Formats: sequence, structure tokens, C-alpha cells
Amino acid sequence: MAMYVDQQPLPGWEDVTPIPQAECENPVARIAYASDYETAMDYFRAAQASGELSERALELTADIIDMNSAHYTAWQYRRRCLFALNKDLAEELSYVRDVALSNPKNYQIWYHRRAVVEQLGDASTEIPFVDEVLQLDAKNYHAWAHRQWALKTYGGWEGELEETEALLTADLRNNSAWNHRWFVIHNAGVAVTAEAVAAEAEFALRHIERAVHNESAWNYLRGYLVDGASFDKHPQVKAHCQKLLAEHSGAADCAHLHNLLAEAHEQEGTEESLNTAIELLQKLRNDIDPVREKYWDRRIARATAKLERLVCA
Amino acid sequence: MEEYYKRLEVQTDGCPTRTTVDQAECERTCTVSMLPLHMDDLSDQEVLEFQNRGILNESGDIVLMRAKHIAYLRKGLKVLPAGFVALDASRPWIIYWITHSLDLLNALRSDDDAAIIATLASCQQPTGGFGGGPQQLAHCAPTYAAVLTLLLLGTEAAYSAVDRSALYRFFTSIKHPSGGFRMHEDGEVDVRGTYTVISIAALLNILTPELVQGVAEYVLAAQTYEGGFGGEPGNEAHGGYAFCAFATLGILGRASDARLDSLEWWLCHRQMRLEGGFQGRTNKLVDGCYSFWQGGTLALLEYVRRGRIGEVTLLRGGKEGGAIRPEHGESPEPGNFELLKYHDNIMLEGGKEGGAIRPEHGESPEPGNVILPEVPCMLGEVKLGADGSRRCYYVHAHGQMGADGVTTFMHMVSPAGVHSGALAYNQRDLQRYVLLCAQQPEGGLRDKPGKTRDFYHTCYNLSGLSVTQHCLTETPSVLGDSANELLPTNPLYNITEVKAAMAMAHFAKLPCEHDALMQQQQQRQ
Repeated sequence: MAMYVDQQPLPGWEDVTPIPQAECENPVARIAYASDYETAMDYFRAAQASGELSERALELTADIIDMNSAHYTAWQYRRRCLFALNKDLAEELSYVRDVALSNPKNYQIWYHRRAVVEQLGDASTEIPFVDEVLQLDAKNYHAWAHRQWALKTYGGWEGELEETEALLTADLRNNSAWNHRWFVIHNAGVAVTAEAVAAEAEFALRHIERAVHNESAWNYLRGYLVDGASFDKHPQVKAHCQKLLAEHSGAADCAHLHNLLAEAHEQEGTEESLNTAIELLQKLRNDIDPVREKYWDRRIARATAKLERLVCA
Repeated sequence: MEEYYKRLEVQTDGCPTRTTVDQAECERTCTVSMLPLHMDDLSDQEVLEFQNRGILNESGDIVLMRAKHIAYLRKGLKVLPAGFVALDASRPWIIYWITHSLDLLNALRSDDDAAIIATLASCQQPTGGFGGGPQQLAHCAPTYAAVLTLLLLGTEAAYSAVDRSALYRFFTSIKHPSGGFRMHEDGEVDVRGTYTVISIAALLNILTPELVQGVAEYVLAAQTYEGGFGGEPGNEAHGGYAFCAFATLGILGRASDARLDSLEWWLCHRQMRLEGGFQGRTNKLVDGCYSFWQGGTLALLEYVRRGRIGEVTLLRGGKEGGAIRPEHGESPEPGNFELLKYHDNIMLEGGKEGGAIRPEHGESPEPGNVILPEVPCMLGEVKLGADGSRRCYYVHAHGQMGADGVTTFMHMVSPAGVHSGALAYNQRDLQRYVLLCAQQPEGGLRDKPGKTRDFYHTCYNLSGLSVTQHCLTETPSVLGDSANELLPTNPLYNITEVKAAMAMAHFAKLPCEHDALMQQQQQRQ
């Protein structure tokens, strides 16, 4: 390609013949690269082709990543250089920290960090690092996934529940924090006994009292009771919800409260309770949440079918 | 009007937090965008202004601004400014987002086919799979995008550009002991990578028991207490991963092993009360791309519930019409990997070449005599019967007519109108969001008002719109101008349904045994 005729060699790479991008004729969606990116890539390809794992190749990957942090090939080559040169991986983690803080939603950075930590065999830096990222965005998906990976792989569960509580104090609607709480309860190696479930239900209900329309707290509570079919083991939850319905100022239009009560009644499965469930679901469909009319119709149909089976049997 | 939205606003319960502050601001901008919906509240001047801007037609119906979207998309296939460098490792994605969007808009032209095929071929690695650009490592995500693009072009040249056996070997090389797949050599393992491998393998008929081993269990472990799926077991439920996970289970015929009621609960509650679009996670903001990720998953769920998932996997076998399960001992072979019949479509026969007769020839076009020209796929508009204009989509499945098992499809569609649809979510409100909030007046679609259009959001807003218009209904549900109707997309693979069917028919004839695929590779070397 003509543009390479005038190309200046990259300082420190004078001994290498750059390899241009093997673009086809008239490519579609061609990117009009800035010349520094194009030059860096040309030498990167040359390094790749010769298999050069060197200091300057390592630096070159940083230059490319600086311009395009999603360049997974550059990241992968960077790891090859790092490990071949036996580089100080603690230093690498501080480099990744800098890149991540300015670019926190990028898959490659987070995987790179995992791979480096695995090589290092020491994850003690990871929870503080994740905390730092969560300060910028308490719902950053990659950060939470990284935290859970570090915990599952290397342990260090102490303080995790307190951490979720701190985050929920800041924003009790932070669903990532609720999810993490579930993760900790179920993965920290402590048996999830009936008492533990009761305590978590109590925890959720406490938050529900403060903000009755907060779906995150309801979903957390639901998780213990609905798929586990265990409303009967925790009758206090239904009683608490009934009290909320009767007394809480925000209860009248609270879809989640009505729904949970309907689910509790459905699980009971008597003719009377199924009738109550259907009534609650109809209220949801017609008054509280008509936007989801079709969803509630399905629920009503399922509860009605259950009732019919019961009555016919 | 304000009353109407007031009722749907986020409730802070006297305890405002970052989440409710962000949500309230988002609702405010969406409410403004939905003004054209409330004609009665608008002055004549305002109505005229919306009509001039192209948002409303003369009758006051909301318009999908096709011409502007098409112009925006076509431009993207040319040269992109330097700022696109952030997508330099995603070029097949750009091409897929654009071509699939154009296909949905029925505006895909064959002029660029050769250049598209050559560009994608330049990203293909000799060791199998596609990279994000020339000389980049093979990676599942650009592989998914590149293969889908080639299949949606739907020509022999496009099909043959994929080195199937090399790709198969790439897939086996990234198989992970967890049952999932790595994204690339020394890359991350998650549900997304797993879906890309399984869906592409299904389309190309290389879905062997070796690839399928442990996949369903890996994916099932990612379903969370909320009912959705996370990227890895334990992670928060998220729309993109929910789609990837559930679509994978659908292909494998294992969807019913998920907790379906909880999934349905979670999915339906991701639809925003006021905005009408979907959020990706609980207590996050609406984003137009989830029109497909969440809406598509709800469509798949409905196919599963009705025992009709085979209509979109296009695979036969297994208890749910998904691929044959390796646990059952059968190996998926071409014979049990057949194409299923589409909808209640009409198989065309007749004419001297086994085709039918062109409406241009003066005969009145009826289901029995519409010609299928020697082009692989086309869409035509014909007038039928007394009930006025009806659209006729038809496709000649693989370029060969005659006795060798030509598969032709015809999909008759009645005049469009909006109806509530067969899916569990509010299909009318979703269309409202896509058309009024996600659509950018200059062309292209976006995340939400205040954000800027991009090809990704254009693709997934339109894909979500197509799902909601067409899935599980013979009469499309179309909000606004009847020309807002898009071509039906296959909700599992997300290329138009005719292209998915054509590809399936084409690749079903090719070998799909593990040993044969591995051996072909060795011979090539």
C-alpha cells in the first residue's frame, strides 16, 4: 500500500520491517486509522510474526492498548511477553489498575487482570482494587464478576457481608450488592440453614420497610422462598407481608408485595388460598400493574388451572 | 398526559438514592420523547413540526424513518473515521450490525457482497475462526458476527467462505473443562462465548456431541435467584447473558431444565413501566439494545412453553425439538438434523422448472403461482384477492431447483396492525420505546434519549422490533405506520428467518461428524 512508502520507522524498531495490515481490496467498514496507531500496529504485527517477546514489544502493547483498550490480541501478546520476561507482576497490576480506572467496562482488562493474578498466585490486592472501581460505579458488572472469581478461587470471605451492607447503606437499590450478598451466603462454605434463611428474610424485610417499592430487596427475599417452595417453613414472611399490606403507607400500589403474597398463597395450594392468590393477581393485572397485563394473565391462568385440578380431584 | 405518566414514575418511598435519581432523570427525557404519542395534547403547530421531522406521517401515525436509517447504515460500510479505533478488534461486528439491520429493513443490496465476503475472509485465521480484523487472533465474538454476516448474505460464495472444519477445530481447541468455551486462546470463559460457539455450530451443522458435552450444565449453573442468568455462575442476572444462556439451552433442547417461571418473572419485570423498553438488570436504566436481548429471550421462552422451539432452532430431535442430546446416545447426523417447516407456510410447486409464475407476467399471483427466480432470496410485494395489498415473502432456499429436494418457503402476511401479540411482555409499549425514544431523528437508533446512535444499538433495537412484530403471530403486530413492519428475524440466531432456514438447508448436506471434521483439517494442512 502506498501509505507505507513514507512511513517513519518507530523509534527503537529500526531493525524491523513493519508488516502492514493485510486488508483486502476495497474493504468494507475500513477504519481511517490515525498514523500513530497504524505504525504501532505495523510493528506489532512484525513482532508477532517473528515471535519477539521483548521489553520493546511489551511497551508496544501498552501503546496499542492506550489507543484501543479492546485489542485482545495485544493484551494476549502482552501476557506472553510478561511471562516470558519474568516481569514483576505486581507492577503489572498497578498498570492494569490505571487502565481499568479510565476504562472500567472493557472485557480484556478484567481478563488480563485475572490471568496475571493467577500467574502471581496471590489475590490479596484484588478486593481493594475492586472496591476502588466500585467507588466510581457501584454496579460495574466486570468488577463484581472479578470479585466473585477472586473469592471463589482464593477465599477471603471475611468482611464480604459487611461490604454489601455498606453498599446497601449508600444505595439500598444497588442490585449488584444484593446479588453479591446472595453469592456470599451461598458460596462462603457456611451451610444455608433454616435459621440463615430466616435471618436473610428478616434482612430483606428490614430494607423493604424503608423503601417498599425497591424491587431488589423483594427479589432477594423471593429467591429464598419461591424456587425453594418454602413459604411454609417461614410463615413469618407471609405474616410480615400481610402486616405491610394492612399498615404500610406505600402498600396499596406495591406490585411486589401483592405478588409475593400471591405466591405464598399459591404455594399453600388450598382452595381458599388459591382463590386469594387469584384475587391478588387480578388486582395486579387490573389496577396496580396493567402495563404487565399479559404476564399477570398467565399467572392467573396457572393459578386457576391449579384450582380447577384441586376442585375436580 | 402528565397524569398518565405520573402514575408510572419511579417511587422513592421517601428514601431517594442514586438509583432513583438516575431513574427519574431518564423518565423525564423519555416522557418528552413520547410527546408525539399524545396528539390530543399537541397544538396543530406541534403536530406539523413532528410531521416535518418525519416522526409522524400525515395521519399522525408514528414512523420508522427507514430512509434515514438505511442511509446511516450504508455509510458505515464505507470508511469509518479514526475514532472507530476502539472497534478495531470488532470489525466483523460492525459489518454484522449494519448488514443485519439493512436486511431487517429489506434494504440489503448485493452490490457490496463481494467486498463484504473479502473483508470477512481477510479476518479468518488459517487455524480456524475469525479475528476482529486481519492478523488478529481468532475470537468467538467476531467469529459469530462474521459467520452470521456470511449466512445473511445467503449466497454460495458467502457460505463457502467459511472454513467449517478449521472453525470446528478452533472450537474444540477453546473448549473448557467447565463445559463452557474460552473466547479465544488464553481468553475468558463465559456464557456469551458459549452461546456464540453453540449457535454458530448449530447453523453450520458442526454441533457434535464433543462440543455439546457439559454445556447445558455450565449454562444452567448461571441462572440466578432472580430468575435471569449471569455471565458466570454467581454473577448478577443480566439481559445479554440471559439471552446467551437461554438461547444455548434452546438449541440443545434443554430449555425446560431452567427454572422457567422465575425466568419469566425476571424477564417481564425488566420492562420499564413508564418507558416501555427493557432494562438489562434490576434497578438499572432502560436501554434500547435490550429490546432484543430481553424481548428475544421472552420470545424464546414462549416457543419453549408452546413446545415449538424447533421452529426457531431449525433442529430436530431431543425432547424439546432441539439438537439431539449426546446423553441420549444419538449422534446428531444430517438425517436427524432436518429443517422444520416454517409457520404454516405454503410450499410452492408448479411452473415448468418447478418454480411458479411471476406476477409481472400478468397472471394473478396466488400462492400457487408466484415465481421463485434464480436468486437465493427475495421479497416481493404482490396484491392478493379482494382484501387489498398483502405482502408476500418468499425464498428459494438453495439455488437449485428440481428434484434434488429444493426447499421453498413462502410466508404470507396479512395487512399489519397493532395488537397485543403472543409474547408475555407489553409489545405495544416496547414498540413505542423503540420508535419514539430509541429512534434518532437523523437516522440510526440509540440506547436512550440523550445518547448517540451507533450500529450496535441500531441492530438490536431493530432486531427487538422485529421479534415483537413477528414472533408467534401470523399477523404482525405493528405500531404506527404500516410500513414500520420489518422482516421477521429468527429470535435464536438473529438473522432473518429465511436466511437462517436457507443456511440450515445448505449446511445440513455437509458432514458433521467429529472425526470427519478433524480429519478434513489435517488433510488441508
